[in-house]
Amino acid sequence: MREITYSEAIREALRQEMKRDERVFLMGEDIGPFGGSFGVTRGLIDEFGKDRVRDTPISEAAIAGAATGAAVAGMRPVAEIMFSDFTTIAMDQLVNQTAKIRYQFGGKARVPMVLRTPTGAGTGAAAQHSQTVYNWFVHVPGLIVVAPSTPRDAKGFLISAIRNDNPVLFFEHKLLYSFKGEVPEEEYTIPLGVGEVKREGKDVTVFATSIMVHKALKVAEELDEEGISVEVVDPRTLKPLDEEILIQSVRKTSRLVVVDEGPRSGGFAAEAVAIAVEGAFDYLDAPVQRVAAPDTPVPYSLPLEKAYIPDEGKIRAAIQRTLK
Amino acid sequence: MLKEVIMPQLGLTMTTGTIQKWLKKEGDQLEKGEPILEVMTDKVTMEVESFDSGILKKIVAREGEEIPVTQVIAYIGDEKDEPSPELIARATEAKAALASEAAAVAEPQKEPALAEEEEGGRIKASPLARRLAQEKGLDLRLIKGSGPGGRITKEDVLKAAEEKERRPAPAEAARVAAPQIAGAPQVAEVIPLTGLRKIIAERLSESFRNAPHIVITMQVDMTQAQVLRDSLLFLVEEKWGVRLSYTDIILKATALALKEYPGLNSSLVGEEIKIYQDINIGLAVAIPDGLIVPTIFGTDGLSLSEIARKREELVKKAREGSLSLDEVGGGTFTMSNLGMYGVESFSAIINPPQAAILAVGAIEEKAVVREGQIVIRPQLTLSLSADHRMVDGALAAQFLARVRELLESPYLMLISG
Amino acid sequence: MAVTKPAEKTLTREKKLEMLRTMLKIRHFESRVDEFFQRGMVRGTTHLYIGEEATATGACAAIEPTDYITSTHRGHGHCIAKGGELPKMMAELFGKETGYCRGKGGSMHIADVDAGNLGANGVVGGGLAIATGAALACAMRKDGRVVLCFFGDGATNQGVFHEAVNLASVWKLPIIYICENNQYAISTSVKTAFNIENIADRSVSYGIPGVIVDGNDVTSVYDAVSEAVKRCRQGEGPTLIECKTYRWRGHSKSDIQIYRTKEEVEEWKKKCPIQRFKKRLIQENLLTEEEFEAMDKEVEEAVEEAVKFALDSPYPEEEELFEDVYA
Repeated sequence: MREITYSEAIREALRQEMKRDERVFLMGEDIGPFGGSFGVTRGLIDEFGKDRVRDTPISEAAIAGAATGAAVAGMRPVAEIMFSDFTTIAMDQLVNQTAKIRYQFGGKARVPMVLRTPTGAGTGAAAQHSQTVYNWFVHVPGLIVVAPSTPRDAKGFLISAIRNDNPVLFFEHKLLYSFKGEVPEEEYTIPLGVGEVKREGKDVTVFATSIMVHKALKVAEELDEEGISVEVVDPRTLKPLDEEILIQSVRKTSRLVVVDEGPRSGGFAAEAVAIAVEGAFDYLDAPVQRVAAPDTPVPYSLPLEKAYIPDEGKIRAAIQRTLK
Repeated sequence: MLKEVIMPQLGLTMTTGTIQKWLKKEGDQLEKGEPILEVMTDKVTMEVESFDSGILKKIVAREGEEIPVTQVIAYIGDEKDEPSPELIARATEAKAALASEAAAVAEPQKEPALAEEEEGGRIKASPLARRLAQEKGLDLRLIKGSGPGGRITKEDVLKAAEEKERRPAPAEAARVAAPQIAGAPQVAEVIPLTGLRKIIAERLSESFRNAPHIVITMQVDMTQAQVLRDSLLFLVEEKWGVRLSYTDIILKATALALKEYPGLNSSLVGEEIKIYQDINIGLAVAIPDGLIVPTIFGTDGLSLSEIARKREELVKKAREGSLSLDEVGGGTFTMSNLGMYGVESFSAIINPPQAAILAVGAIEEKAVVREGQIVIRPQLTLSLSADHRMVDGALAAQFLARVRELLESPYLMLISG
Repeated sequence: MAVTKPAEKTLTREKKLEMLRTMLKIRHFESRVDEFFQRGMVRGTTHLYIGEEATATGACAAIEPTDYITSTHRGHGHCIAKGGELPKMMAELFGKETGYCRGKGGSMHIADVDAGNLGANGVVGGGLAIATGAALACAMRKDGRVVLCFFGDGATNQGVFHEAVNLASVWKLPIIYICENNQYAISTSVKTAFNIENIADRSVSYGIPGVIVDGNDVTSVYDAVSEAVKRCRQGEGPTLIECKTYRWRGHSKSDIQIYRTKEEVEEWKKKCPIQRFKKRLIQENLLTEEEFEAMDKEVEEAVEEAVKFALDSPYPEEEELFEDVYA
């Protein structure tokens, strides 16, 4: 199968859905001729015109709110927030409006919108351009939260998200954009809320999100040579979470390491651990480990940022702590 | 300072309690008000809460031991508290027993290599290891942990289980070998005689051994009782939401008869026969792990509907296991009804130290002769077992005849008592 | 709203030369930063102030060292104009321990709080409310200080712009909102993001003066800001000043600049704020070509000193990650 990048896979999903359904349109800052800060929407304006690929002023609250309103009124907008850090500016819209509309109106309205946003650290962009914020939205009932780790997942989930009648927040790790992988050319969907075992193993489960999946896979490969069999599970959708895939894996391996780039306290890793302990307590053979970012803002300086981000060394050490 | 944990007195009539289960282990941290052990008394298991906060330093009474109320069963203290020699001495018996158990399991090793203990003495073991050990009947204290921080893991438990299988402990060896030697029937399951079952066994053998039973039987024509029940059933159900049963009517009749024949409402304690003024009939109720007898206090003074409501409440509590100690004590007479199982008649064993028990069979349509005619009538068989030391045959017969009379002409109940 | 005419009679030669020197500092500093970017020695993203030097320089020349400024993601120029030390700035961009923020902030978060620079900002419009709050403190403490709040054209389409300016207006806070209209919010031209000719026109809706200035003319900026500062100190409240300017370089390192023509860029380069001011100073006989060369060389050397300092400085220890963490 042909290989394309994560970024291309997203663009392909957008293109195919825009062709398929004329209600689908894009809006965001510099997504038109400029192609978005990470080039994801590059070329789409030439194909679909500026009516359906809309550059907006720097107005995140209006982007999120207008996408919500357009969705309620029959369109299927895909909004982009340039950095996930800036979802804060759209927070009132997303949390108090987007997430609540269907429920508080007794099901009389739907909000079929997608909000795509680049996320994560590792680019030296410091405290306001590097955060992992998806866990905030996991905590808001009424929002679907996706963080795909591969080009294949990115395309399949984005199409599902666009076709879904409810708001989906789609987090794309900046460092994944150039990742290549096999992606079917045709349209396909992956059901929201379904995780995937990215690598089978029997000694320890590593439950990793977004880019951390790749770091976990790398460690799994290294440890394989040392005779340690690591199972890597990727939830892919953080809300609703595939709890069963986590519980089943832990029941199988009896050991769990959760890896997430978000800060440790009140983080997604904590949630995953809670689910595992609730669902597989009597199967646990070692204390559960969390590998997460420390409770600090993301620092700028190279050595500090390296120390900040969960990496292969930390994952490996955590796995070993469950074994010895 | 060490504080004593005592066998509590949990009911007015309680003199001893059996330690059913320790809910805390030595070294566990305890909060005031937290359950610390389960005590069984008079067929009821109760949780006992700690009076003090601190560390459970020493347990001096084992599970299964019957201990007089107020006797010390454990000590609570803080980290600095060291058990005194005297305390250790008192604990010796229990410790020795524990040790012999331990030796039986871990015979190959002279000094069992113990698992790492966390602060406070709790054994470090993974949840999986704990579950497996429990399933395999292994004592975690005797398993060496190889996991992170000396924690016992699944692998350690499996290894221990394997070892145990290879070298079965003597007691177990005997148990396994026995059927082969004797050619005795294959045992499907071995259920230790503990808890409620043990108490029932002790009580009933004591009764059967000590109280010479006399059993008399009578047939009762329930035609009128049936009319009575049919005419009240709807009213009672409508008003109180309970179904009036024949048991209620028989209870009422029995209570009124007891009032007239107090010799049956009595007990033999030592050299004395106590005749009770209160008529508190206990009703035997089958529950999953045995039998329990809640008491309907002042049965004679209750109306039929009151009896029905009380009966229903107590049966429900019995099945939920939520009867209080006071609800199962204080009985002066017992009634046991196996009619619902189709039993025509049976003789019951007296609930000591009471004088008698009434066994109630099923009501069945039977051909009987009335005024020279063979007619079909609903017939009930009542059997009274009485302690012959207190109750003569004639007294028993008179009493039972009166019960029959009240049931056959239930309106008499209105002018009795 | 007339375009303000330069009225630079009040400025001494010394002050004028200092303003020229500041603009040169910014230009040389940014040129070096541009290079270090391309060599991958400066991380993340950064936004160069080249072409816009007159705005920060003229504005900051109109306030006292005790006054405050808030800056933007394109903040190096503001920091230098407010008296920032080049070595500490360069060290910060290199992520070194000796940087203004001990290496933790980088390009978008340079702050020099001791000098009254309340910091650059990674979020468009992020400084607007902060500046307003600082002005509130000045008003409540009656310390006579004013706040210069720098922001770009893009920021005025954030909700917080409306909220902050309105608040400052109704409370008559001592703050000058300086909109650096450099024509583009990344790729988005003001022509597509606004339906009004001048951003200063928005002042009407808040009931405050709105002033349009040639942002590439350092003395025009100086005059306009001076006037606004006077109003502030007299308790007359805020002013919105729109400085029309242009950034020569892309928005950031990654900008391929497909949204504008080379001709447009060349046209603006002709309006270079440094060359214009230099020419005028020479015309006014306040500066000779030789003196300019000497000044230019001196500034260049100072920037090189800063580079050397930054290169020689150590990276922070890993423990620094947890410094200033309290929750």
